[in-house]
Amino acid sequence: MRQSTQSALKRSEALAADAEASRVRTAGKRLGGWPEALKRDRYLYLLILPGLLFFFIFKYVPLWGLLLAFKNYSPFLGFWESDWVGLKYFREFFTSPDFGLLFRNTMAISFLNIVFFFPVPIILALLLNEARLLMFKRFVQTVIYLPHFLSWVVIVGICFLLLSQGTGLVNNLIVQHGGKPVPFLTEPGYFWAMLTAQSIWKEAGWGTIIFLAALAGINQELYEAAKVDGANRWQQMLNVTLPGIKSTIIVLLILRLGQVLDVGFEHIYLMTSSPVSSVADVFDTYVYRLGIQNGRFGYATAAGIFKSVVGLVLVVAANRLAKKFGEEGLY
Amino acid sequence: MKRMGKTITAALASAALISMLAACGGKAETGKQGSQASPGAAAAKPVDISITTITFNASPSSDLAGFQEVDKKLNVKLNVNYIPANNITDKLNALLASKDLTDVMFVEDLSYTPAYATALDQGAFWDLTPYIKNYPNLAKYPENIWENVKYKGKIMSLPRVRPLDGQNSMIIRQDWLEKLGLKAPTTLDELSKVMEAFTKNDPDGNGKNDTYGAVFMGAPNPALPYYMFGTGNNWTKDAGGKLIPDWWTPQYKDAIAYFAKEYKAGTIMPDFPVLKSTQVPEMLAQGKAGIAFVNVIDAYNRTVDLQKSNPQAKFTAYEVPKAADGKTHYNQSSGFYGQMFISKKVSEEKLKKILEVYDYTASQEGYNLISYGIKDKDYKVQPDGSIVQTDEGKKQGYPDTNQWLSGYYNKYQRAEIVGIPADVKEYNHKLIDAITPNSIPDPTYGLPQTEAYKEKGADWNKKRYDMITNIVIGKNTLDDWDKFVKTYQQDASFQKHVQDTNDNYKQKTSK
Repeated sequence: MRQSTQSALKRSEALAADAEASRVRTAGKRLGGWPEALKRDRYLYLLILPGLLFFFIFKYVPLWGLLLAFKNYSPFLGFWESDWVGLKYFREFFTSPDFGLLFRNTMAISFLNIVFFFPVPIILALLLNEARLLMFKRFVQTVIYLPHFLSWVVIVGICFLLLSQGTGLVNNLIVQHGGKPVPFLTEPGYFWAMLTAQSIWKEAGWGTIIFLAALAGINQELYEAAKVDGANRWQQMLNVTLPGIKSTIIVLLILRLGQVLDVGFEHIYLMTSSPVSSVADVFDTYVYRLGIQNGRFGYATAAGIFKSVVGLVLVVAANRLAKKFGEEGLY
Repeated sequence: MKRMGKTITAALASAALISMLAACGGKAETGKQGSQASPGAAAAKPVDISITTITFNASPSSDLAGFQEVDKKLNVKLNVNYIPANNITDKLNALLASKDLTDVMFVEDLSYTPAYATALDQGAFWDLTPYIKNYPNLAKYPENIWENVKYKGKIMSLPRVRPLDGQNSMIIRQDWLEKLGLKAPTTLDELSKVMEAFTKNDPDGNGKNDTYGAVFMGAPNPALPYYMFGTGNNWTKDAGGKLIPDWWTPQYKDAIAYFAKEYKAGTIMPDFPVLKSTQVPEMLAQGKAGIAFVNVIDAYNRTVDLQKSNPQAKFTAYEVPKAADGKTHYNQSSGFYGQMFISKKVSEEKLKKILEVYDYTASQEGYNLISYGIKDKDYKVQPDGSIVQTDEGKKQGYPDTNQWLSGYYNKYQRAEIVGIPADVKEYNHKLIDAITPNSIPDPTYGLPQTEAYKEKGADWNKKRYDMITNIVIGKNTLDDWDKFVKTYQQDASFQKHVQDTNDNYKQKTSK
């Protein structure tokens, strides 16, 4: 017993040494021979070149424009002639009397979005996955994808037609049945729920695509094994399907956290009106008003940098957390 | 097609040349009349005139027959450079920065391109004050427009004239008034009563309680007819003769209070806070509301919309009701859209030539030549005086060719439209005539924006609009309004804004 264990240990040590040696070999080869590798796979590198150029020119080069946040930029004077102002815009932004309100509104809208919107495509995808008739599944998919192709202008317009107090269909029905018209569009208390509901209606269907793709990638043998073990549909979903798409869910959630301060300018701007502006004013609308409308590009850039930094911190933190719990994460 | 057009143009132009050779001098005596004969100077070389202006369509060609006609007539060579409207500000700044100015420069609004105000101060453009009186068509522009266009007390530019009045009027469903046996309101109390009747007495006779007295736009800013209460136009003078924003006046508060009361009574469309400018005409066209405060001509336009489904329906434009002081009040518009500056680089001789061109195009004849081409070939004049382009004229590409003109003043432009019946037109003209004596100009027209406003203006406006709307719908009270006004009266940067505006105003009005 002891002997056999010892020999097994030895064998495994030998194997490990072998593996180590081979790792060193390949690493050495890689280090020494990258020009060679470049030459050997030149067509592959050529293929990737346009993509690299795209990212370099359109994503990395414009980054120098971030310097605007530290300048009193005037298009008339040009970039270099404009004065440096240091951290003035950041100070102004953080000490603005509206900052607290903007932060609360932005976080609340984003949080509601993650809690209520994020799970919907997953649930939908799981339901679709269980559909028995292929025809039915296809039909439902098509129908729920459609709203994605409508612009926010159209959706807000439809909402107005349905929910306005004077002419809205819903309020007309309420009045006909003896109720009082409900100010859906102008009551601050309904605003966040309204935004979340609209987002779900527009994008939930489209969001199922990625989860359906992940579902298709689950090994069918696992289902068969589960059936042999006597698992019913519900147990199969809990023990095979969900673990199968878990990593996809986590990656998407991490990416979503990166955009926590982007709450959809177009959507909110269209839905905003004076009565709800205390709950609807977010960083994006504020930046539009003070930065773009008043031509203060430096200020707008400073606010943009703040948003990006918050996004980056959240992505890194969430990724760390995911790894700690043994998930793959983003990188 | 274009080539053929050119041939025709050339033929026409030579015909024109022969017929006008005797009458048209190279260097007209600009001292008295725009294009008077000056025999013997016919052989002079045409004067090149370069012009920069705005365009809302594709850039038109400068080879059009109408242009050549003007060239020949005044012995000039017009060369117009069109800039698309969406990047006009950047382009104007770039032209100024590169010192690449043409003889004539269009500036949409000095407050959008303050660099031009600096250039003006530095003497980059001609002072036209002593010259205008020599050009009869230009001198005919209303005095108010010349006042509004002045920069620091001097006429530094030619205004692209627009009517002064007609954007403030009250339009009412005439058929509803008649059905309910009511008269058009002339006081604020009567207006309340008519709005109430329109709301409660089923004026459309469908048996449902689905109509409202009036409809107003509320988003992005509440467009209520404050002017009706005598608030003044944007800025007004307080007891001490100092300019203050119109919303500091008690009349403005009265206006908010009035509409808040009406909203509470349910006579204003409840969707007011979310209605955008395009939705107001829709509500009127659907027969949801019976009163709106819009352009005079909108009465006819909405009637056309309505009659598609209800041939009896009719909107009529009226004077707005009298304020508590027993007077009717209107706001005057600036009377121009954009200004033409003449570069100091051109000689006085050439300046006179340029003014001659502008004087000629400020006549209906010259204006039509540039705007529509050759009469009876490119366009026809209808018996009622309106202009219809021929197919030939449409092919030539004339849209926007008149963007470089200062044009001629048509007081009734906001009261008429192609196809309007003669009786409506006559009625509208009379209405404009009644409005004119009671409309007041904005004292700050032509003033540069203050630094404080440039920095915070959009935010100030938004907070004020929010407050007004919330008071009207009953979420805030008039006490909140008093507090709001007080906050701004005590705010350091708003005080600076008011002070700077006063200083600019003094500078403008001091001769």
